[in-house]
Amino acid sequence: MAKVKNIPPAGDLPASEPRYKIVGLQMLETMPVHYAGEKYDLADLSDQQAERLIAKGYPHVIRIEP
Amino acid sequence: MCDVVDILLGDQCGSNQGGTKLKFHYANVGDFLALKKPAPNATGAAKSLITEDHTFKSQKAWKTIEIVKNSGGLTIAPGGENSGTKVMTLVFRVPSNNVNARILFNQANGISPFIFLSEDANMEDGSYDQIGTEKQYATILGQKVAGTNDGEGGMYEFTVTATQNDRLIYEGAVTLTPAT
Repeated sequence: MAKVKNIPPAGDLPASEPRYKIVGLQMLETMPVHYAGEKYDLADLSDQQAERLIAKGYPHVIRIEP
Repeated sequence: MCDVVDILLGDQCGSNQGGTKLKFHYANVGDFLALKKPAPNATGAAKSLITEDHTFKSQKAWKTIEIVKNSGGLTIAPGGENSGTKVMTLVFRVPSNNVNARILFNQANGISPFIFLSEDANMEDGSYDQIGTEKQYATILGQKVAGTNDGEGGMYEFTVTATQNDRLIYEGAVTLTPAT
């Protein structure tokens, strides 16, 4: 089940606001992944971390096209 | 033609600490959905570098092993003459009162196919030696070392071996969350 982040309670997102979803992994309270010497938690991923993973082609984080 | 390159020490920076870092990752070969390889058109050092992420079958993920300090070492010995083969041997210890280590100890039969990721202490964070490949997988054996009352504690000593064509470096992500 995909997890959608950064959905505001109301109104449109700013155009620059990235949105992404987690795919292909079990949705757990903590979802650790190590990349480039850093530990990420996919269950609590910052936008910057998400962009970094997307940029490297990480298969479990994909951008949601507006 | 093979690459013949300069190897210079003048720009060498940072620590050259020996041994390994204290955390490894491993998985059974059968648990992988896709085991990536170096890019087919790679040249130079990239020919032995995997940057794409290995992915797993449902319910599976990389597992972690934390080891005792100073117990971890990866040696790579030459194979037979004229072959260039790399004989990888990773040795490490875990206290023998660790229940999960007992599970691995009982599985360590020298047959089951594994992939291990270890990091030498002088390697950049996020770069791993990949021990074993899909078709030249690693196997593991274990022995229990007794220790003494006034000396070292009881330990499992594991030995992972694989025979490979190249020393492979994995720089992909290590996903510890099981796949769906």
